[in-house]
Amino acid sequence: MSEFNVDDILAEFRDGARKKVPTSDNAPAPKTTSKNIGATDIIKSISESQKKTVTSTAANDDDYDEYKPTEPLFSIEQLRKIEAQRKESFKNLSNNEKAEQPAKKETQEKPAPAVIKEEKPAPAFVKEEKPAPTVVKEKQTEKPKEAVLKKEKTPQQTKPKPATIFGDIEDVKKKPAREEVQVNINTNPFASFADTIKQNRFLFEELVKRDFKKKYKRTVLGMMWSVISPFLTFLVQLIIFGFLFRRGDSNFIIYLLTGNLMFHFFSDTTTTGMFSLYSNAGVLSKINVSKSIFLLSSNVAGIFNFLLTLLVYFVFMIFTGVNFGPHLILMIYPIVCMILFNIGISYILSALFVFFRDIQYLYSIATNLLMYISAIFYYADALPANMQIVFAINPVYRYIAYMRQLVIDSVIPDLTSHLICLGFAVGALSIGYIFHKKTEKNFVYYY
Amino acid sequence: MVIDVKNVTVVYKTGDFKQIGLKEYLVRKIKGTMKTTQFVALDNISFTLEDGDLLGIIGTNGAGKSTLLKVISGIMQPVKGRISVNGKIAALLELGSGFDPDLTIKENIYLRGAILGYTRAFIDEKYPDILEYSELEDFEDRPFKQLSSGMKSRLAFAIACLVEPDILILDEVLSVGDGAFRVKSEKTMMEIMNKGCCTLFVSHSVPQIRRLCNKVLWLDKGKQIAFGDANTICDKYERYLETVANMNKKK
Repeated sequence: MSEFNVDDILAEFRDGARKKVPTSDNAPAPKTTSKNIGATDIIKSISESQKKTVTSTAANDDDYDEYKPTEPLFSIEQLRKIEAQRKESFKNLSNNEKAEQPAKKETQEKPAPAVIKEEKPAPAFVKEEKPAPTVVKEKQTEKPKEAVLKKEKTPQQTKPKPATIFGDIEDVKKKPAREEVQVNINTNPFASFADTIKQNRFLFEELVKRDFKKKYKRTVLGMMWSVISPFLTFLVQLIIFGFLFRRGDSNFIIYLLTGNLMFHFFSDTTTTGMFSLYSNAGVLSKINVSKSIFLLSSNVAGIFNFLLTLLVYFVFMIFTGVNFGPHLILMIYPIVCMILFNIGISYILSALFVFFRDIQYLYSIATNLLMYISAIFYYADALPANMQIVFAINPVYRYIAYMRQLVIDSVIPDLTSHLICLGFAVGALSIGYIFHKKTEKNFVYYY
Repeated sequence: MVIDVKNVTVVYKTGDFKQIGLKEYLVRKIKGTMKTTQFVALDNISFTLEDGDLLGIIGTNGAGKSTLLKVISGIMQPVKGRISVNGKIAALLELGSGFDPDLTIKENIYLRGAILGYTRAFIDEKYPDILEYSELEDFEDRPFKQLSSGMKSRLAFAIACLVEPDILILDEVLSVGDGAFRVKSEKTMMEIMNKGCCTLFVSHSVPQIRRLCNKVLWLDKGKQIAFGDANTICDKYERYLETVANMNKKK
């Protein structure tokens, strides 16, 4: 004797025109005469309808199949026809396991195309949740092979597939496309573009200030350490490879230093960029801010350190008698390219780090290995010609080589080098940005 | 229409995929033993708010109130439905977020203001007002971690309110603080509402909602039970709570 039915009430909201909310209609109307004012009924009906809702929410989140017929659609004749059609289409399939498809209630698991996509629950889980009524709206099941290829299945595909009960009948409505999720949050609708720039810049500055204050708050040495670190590596390499092994020529010092500085810029910036999103999880999970700003602001610290090391680099350049001239202006070019490259890699790494914490260990191993194949402390011609491809595809080596060519040989590199450097930068940035955009919706669940 | 929410459904993915690392993830993917369940946090919520509405969101714990606020602020995406929000949002979902414990109050105010999306000039202008409202003029240069929780909540509330948002979102933040703070914050909320700002706030205190709100949304376990006029729904909610309490007593 439940006078109160949540579904009915909600139906008023759901269908058609939204009435101006009449208050007494949609509030729960407990019977005032009975002792239990429908509270138990409220709870019961809620849990019932929730069960129904849970089942009607498809397990796979891109298959919200709302189609739920309330009366039989087809006559017996039609059903027989459908069966015959289906049997025919079965013959076209290679796998014969489809014979028992209609009986199965489970949905196929669809592996994610990207590394990080919504995981589909295993069939076992789905089976438990679905009670009998959903047999009617059972989705089209496919070969596992096809499930690998597609995420969304529609009944109107032309390849031979096992037809469901609604299969090839024309008058069946097209399965509605995945229902549009429209989120239109328009804060500050009257702000001009200049204002947006201003407020983003303000946030950017404040974040950079915050990072600097936290990092360098303690001692002067704290700030110096990030500058000293590559120089110590350089010294050790100089002693070992320059003097002990006598591998270097007269320009070995500057050759070595260039490699170390550029590599350190890359590894340091990308590593801090990796942590940037997750370490700000407190803010990002509660306040709607643009994530890119956090990433960019964390890169700024790395850029700042690199510029400090460049100062010392200039000193070395003077002391080792490097040819100073207008061509050195072009040093800006690999630096800017490398900045973009680092940002792109940071995008990818920070997204991965939110999902998998152990990326940080993998990445530190990767940077170590990368250091060995970037020709930092040996000459590139140490490798035979057919292995030079290793250097050609190594973006960090490209930037180092460009720098060396410019500074040591005093030669402006050719157009190919320019294009390759730019290509790596733009490529990393676009891949990173796209990856970030695709996965950022799911960050919230992982913080 | 300032906020328009239609048929919004939010689903959480739960499962052990958060604790496992990359290798385990790949292994399970390959073996097909990845287990995830989906928890429907919000199911088919629809309502509309105009300028000047003060919406109180009530419901038992786990009803999805915080999730709804997160969806409206844009932190979470629903899997179904439409949301349209027009206006500058100031969301206080958690009092301490956006503040950094090591920085001073002044720096924190600027940081928080920046995160909320204001320009530096604006914060400069409002800065004395913020300090005055939160009664923290003497503590300007103290590190944030030295404040008491009441001070922190006052500061957070001041920053969120005094910067004149179009939409104010508060998640049970009016329940902390001493009596004086509560009176003050309620007064500010009434002023804001009269200014034409739209406010959403979650509370467990039905009298407070009756006092402040003109519309109420009642959620229960993700489902929308009622949306409408505050007094009627509050009555029914109170009766509901009573009957639940009576039933529990009988058991």
